[in-house]
Amino acid sequence: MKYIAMLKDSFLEALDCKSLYVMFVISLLFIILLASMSYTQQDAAGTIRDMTDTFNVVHGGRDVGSFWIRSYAVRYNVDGVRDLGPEAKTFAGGWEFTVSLLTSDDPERRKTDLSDFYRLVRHWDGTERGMVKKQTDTIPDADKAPPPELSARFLRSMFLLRQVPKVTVEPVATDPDGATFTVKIKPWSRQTFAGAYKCHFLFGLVSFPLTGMSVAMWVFGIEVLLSQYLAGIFGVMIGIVFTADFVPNMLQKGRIDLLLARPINRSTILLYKYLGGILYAAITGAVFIGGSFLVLSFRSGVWNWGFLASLGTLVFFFAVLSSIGTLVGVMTRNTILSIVAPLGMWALGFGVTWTKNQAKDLISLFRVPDWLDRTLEIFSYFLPRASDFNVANQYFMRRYAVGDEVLELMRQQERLPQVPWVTTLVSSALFILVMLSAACWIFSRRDH
Amino acid sequence: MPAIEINGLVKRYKGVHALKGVNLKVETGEIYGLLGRNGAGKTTMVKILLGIVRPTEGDVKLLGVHPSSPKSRLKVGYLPEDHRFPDYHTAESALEYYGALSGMSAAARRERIPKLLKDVGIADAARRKIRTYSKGMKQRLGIAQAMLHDPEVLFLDEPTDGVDAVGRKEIRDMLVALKAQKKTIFLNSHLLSEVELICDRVGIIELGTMKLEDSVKNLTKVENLYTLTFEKSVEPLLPDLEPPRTKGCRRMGINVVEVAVEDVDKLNAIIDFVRTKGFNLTGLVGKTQTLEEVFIQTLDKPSEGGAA
Repeated sequence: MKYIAMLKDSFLEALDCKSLYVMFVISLLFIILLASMSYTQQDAAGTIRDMTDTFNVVHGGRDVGSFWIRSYAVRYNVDGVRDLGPEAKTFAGGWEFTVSLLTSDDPERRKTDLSDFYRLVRHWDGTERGMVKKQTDTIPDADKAPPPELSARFLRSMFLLRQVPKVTVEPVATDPDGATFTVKIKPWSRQTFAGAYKCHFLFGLVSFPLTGMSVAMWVFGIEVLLSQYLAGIFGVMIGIVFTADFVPNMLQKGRIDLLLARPINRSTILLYKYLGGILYAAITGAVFIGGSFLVLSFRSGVWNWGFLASLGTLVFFFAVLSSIGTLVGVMTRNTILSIVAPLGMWALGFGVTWTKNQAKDLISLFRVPDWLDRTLEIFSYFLPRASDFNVANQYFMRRYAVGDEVLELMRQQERLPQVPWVTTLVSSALFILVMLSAACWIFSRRDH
Repeated sequence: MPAIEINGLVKRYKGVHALKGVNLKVETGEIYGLLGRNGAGKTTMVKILLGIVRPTEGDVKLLGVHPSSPKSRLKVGYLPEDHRFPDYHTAESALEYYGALSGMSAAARRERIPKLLKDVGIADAARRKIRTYSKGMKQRLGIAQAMLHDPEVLFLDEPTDGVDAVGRKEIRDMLVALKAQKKTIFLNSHLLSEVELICDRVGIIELGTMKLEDSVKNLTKVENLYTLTFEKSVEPLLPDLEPPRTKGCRRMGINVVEVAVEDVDKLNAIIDFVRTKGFNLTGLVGKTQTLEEVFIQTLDKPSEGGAA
């Protein structure tokens, strides 16, 4: 009972400073904005053409911060789009069509167009086989025409990456250049068919096609924006500011006496004050994430349950930062320092991660001794690691956004950022443990 | 088992020797008043008893348990001086909170809180935010929170601070009622008249040393000094009451005289003498002094080299 009373007290404190209401109003504004979005279906042939227009890039880079992209001047013709099923018009059926490389009538230009296509396919193949990892790596057989089967595999992969899991691509034997293909596709769902929809924003005031992007990916992008940037940066910052005075207020002369005279262990009092802050973050986060999830899902038909999991990672990250505020609050009884310290540590952690990633590139490019990388690596274990939390966040959201089949493909291609589960969870939990243990130790020994 | 037991209590802060080997015992059901100037060590002593401040040396027990154990505070209520309630609470929600922290069940809180708010006279403001309360109302709420869980020992630091005369009387009556219930009360107060009225025993602490400790009755009593009141003017009688018949005499009014004698036999001899002189006695009172006088006298005395 006493534990619930302590959490309730923190909740009343948050209610009193109106911060909860402010957070709820901000959340409501965003939810209304999201509710103003609607989607209308596009023409199937146009959608397929839009999609193939994006089959001109190769990208690589497995780790956070090392992503690269290379585009080629390659364009395609899409002809003879034919419905394969009665539900084709609703994007639930399938289509058959021909994809051919668009080349110039001028023989010299045509040669260049073909050469670009071959280089694109070879570049893609090089990344698939792990021979091209960095932008600066040499592309194997770059100037040789690839076998038509390899080009077909390239196209198939492009469709797959655009969430079209059921796809067959056959080279047309009559094309001596090996640049014409017969394609059959069936999208995973309507919402995952890239370019299939037009988005209307602000209740139809603004409209734009989702070119090269499925509704699922669009929603995924919005959810990343909401959870990683709005909630993950601004929400966490506001949460830190609003809960920073919980501990210093509790330690005020005259107020702490009323608490310490109760038959409760001092550490329990402090830990529940800390948990009160976490509860505050969980409630505001649940309203924002939960409300956004419902509105986005109802409006788009994309139920990305992974987005809800981001609430857990957000609250966990807030718990890491809040533990610093708790320790500083106990040590100094100063609200300003209880705000500055966690935000400073966050910035430091971000700086270390960024420098670490940059150092990796420097090492590979200029053969700089790796002592710097090792030092930063070790240092990064002891700091809040926002980027790891972001990767974990995206892991859950991506699963539902692209589906298991595409996810598996991305995994095979090593295009999924690796989630350092053990280091993130263990080092963060240890960080919280150390901060709170120190705070409890100081609080228990201090005279009030 | 004494409710409070302190042996050789020493507390040193950085550069300050707050308590210098204090010994104290308060029995169950006793009302004990601790007096002293500001900074004498009164609040430090109470805070050590409650585990809020850690002792440097010495042995302290509250209801037989060391204050470092939360169990020692199970049956203890405390009203701190200059207490500050979280002002986002109402009186009702604050008592709910502190009651729960003291281990009271929800049913017990439901039953006790309205009654207590009525007893301390703030039932009408029970659902108002504490930030709207006057100092007196906050003090009354402070007393309510201290008594909430029906504690066996009550520590009250300046309980009538900021309370008007009527309120002070109500609080005094409340404390007397608690005494009748055999509750132990440890009172820190600057209002010596109040302490004199309520307390069984009093300790006077100065610069961390217990200077004097006794019952209020003993402290305020003055040996062999009496005030005699007569039917008529004492003027003709005064030369006969000078030493050596008495140890000294002083006219206090037209028909009132104060005499100092060696013992009760001497007093009776004087009474017999004045009656033979035709002066009928209408009043005889053993002279007492106020606690305030005792307090000032004690603090004015040079130190007798108490604890280092």
